[in-house]
Amino acid sequence: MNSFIIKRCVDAAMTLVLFLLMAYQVTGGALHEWLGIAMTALVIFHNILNRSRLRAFGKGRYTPYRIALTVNDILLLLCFFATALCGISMSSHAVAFISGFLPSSVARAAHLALSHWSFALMGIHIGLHLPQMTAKAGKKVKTALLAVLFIFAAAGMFLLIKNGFFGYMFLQTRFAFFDYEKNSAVVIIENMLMLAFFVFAGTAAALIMKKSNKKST
Amino acid sequence: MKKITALIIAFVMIISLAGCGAGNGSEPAGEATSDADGSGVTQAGGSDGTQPAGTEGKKILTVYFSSANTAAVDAVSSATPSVKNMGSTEYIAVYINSKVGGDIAKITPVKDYPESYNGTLDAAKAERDGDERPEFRNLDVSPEDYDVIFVGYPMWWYTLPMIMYTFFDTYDFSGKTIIPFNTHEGSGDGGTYNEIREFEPDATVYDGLAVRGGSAEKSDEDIDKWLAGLGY
Repeated sequence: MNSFIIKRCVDAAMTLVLFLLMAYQVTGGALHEWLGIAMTALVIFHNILNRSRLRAFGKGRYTPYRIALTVNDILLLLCFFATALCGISMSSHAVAFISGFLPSSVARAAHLALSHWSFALMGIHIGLHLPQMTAKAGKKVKTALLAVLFIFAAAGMFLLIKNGFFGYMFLQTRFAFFDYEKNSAVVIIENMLMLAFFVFAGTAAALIMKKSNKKST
Repeated sequence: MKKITALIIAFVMIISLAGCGAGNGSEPAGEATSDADGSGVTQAGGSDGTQPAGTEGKKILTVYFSSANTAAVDAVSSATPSVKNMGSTEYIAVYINSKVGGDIAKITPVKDYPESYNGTLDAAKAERDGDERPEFRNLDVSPEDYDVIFVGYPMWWYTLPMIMYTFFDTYDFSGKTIIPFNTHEGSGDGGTYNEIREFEPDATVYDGLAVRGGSAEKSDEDIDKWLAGLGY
C-alpha cells in the first residue's frame, strides 16, 4: 500500500468521523466519545503522514496561498486539540479515567464553541487543498466539480443559518440543541452540506490566491 | 478523485441509512410527538392514542425537582431563568398544579447543590458519572397514594438528574398513571420518558411535555394545549 492510498484513506476516515461526531443526537454520548478518540488518533496520524510539510515550516517562499494554508493549519491544530482536551475532560465513557481536570462548566461551553470552529476550519482546510489534490484532473472535470461544490455550498449556507451554527461559534447559543425528531440520514447529509460551504470557501480562496501568484511571477 | 469522492459519499449514505434504520433511541413510544410551533415544546398524545384517565375521582399529585439555585442564575445563558423567583421546572409544576388541582410536592435534596450554576453543573456531572443516588428530604405526601402523578424535572447533562433515579427507586407506581414533564435547553426529553417507562413497567407513562427552560414563562398556552389533550 503506497503512502498516497494510506493518506487518502485517512482523509476519508477523518471526514466520515467528522460527520458522525457532529451528529450527537444520532450517535448518543458514548459513541460520540469513542468517535472523538478515533478522530484524535486520525489527526495525529494525519500529521505524522504529512510530517515533511510540518518540517518545511518557515522554509522557502511564503506566497499568499501558503500563508493562508499555514495560518489555517495552525488555527485548526489549536482548535482541534483544545476541543479534544475539553472533550476528554468531560468523558464519562471512553476515557473517564483521565477526565475531570477542567471544570465541567468550562469544558462544556468551550467544547461546544471550539468544535464548531474546528468544523469550519476543517472545511476551509479541505478547500484550500482541493486544487492541489485535483490538479491532474482535466479542465472540464475541475469545472464540474467546482459547480457541484458551489451548489452544495449554497445549500450548506442555508443550513448553517437555519441550524444556528454561528451562534455556537460565538457562544451566543450556550447549549447544544438536538433535534431528536430529525431523521438520522438527514442529520448526516446536513452536516455534509454545511461542511461543503466551508470547503467551497477554502477552494475559492485558494483559486483566487493562486491566480494572483501567477500574475506576480 | 471523483471516484473516491463518489465512493465516500455512497459509503456515508449507506451508513447513515443503516443508522436511521436503527432508529432514534429517544423517540417516545406510541404517538410521535411534534414540535408544532417550533418553540421547543413537544405536544403529547396518549401512549395508546386514546384520552387518558379523566379527572373525576382521581387523586392527582404534581411532584417535581427544580434547581434550587435560582438566585445565582446567569441571566445571559438563559438556561434556568428566574421565572417569578422560581426555577423554570418549578414554574411549570406550579402552573400545572393550578390547572389540574390536587396536591403538589417539591423534591429537595438532603445535600444542597452549590449556590453557583457552574457548581451545580459540576456536582450533577459527578453524580451522573458515579451513578449516584442522592437522597431527598421526606415529601409531605406519599406519592403511591395517588392515581395520577405529574412528574417534573430539568435535563441535567442530557438526562434525568440522579435524584430522580432515587425518586423512582423509592416509590413503586404500579397501576398508576405517570405524566412526565421536563425543561431543557436543547435536548428535548432526551429519551427520559422511555427511561421512566423502564423504571415503572407496571405504570402507564404518557408522552410528556418538554419545554425549553428559557421559554418557560412564555409557555402557558402550550401547557394549556397539552393539558387539554390529556383531558384536564
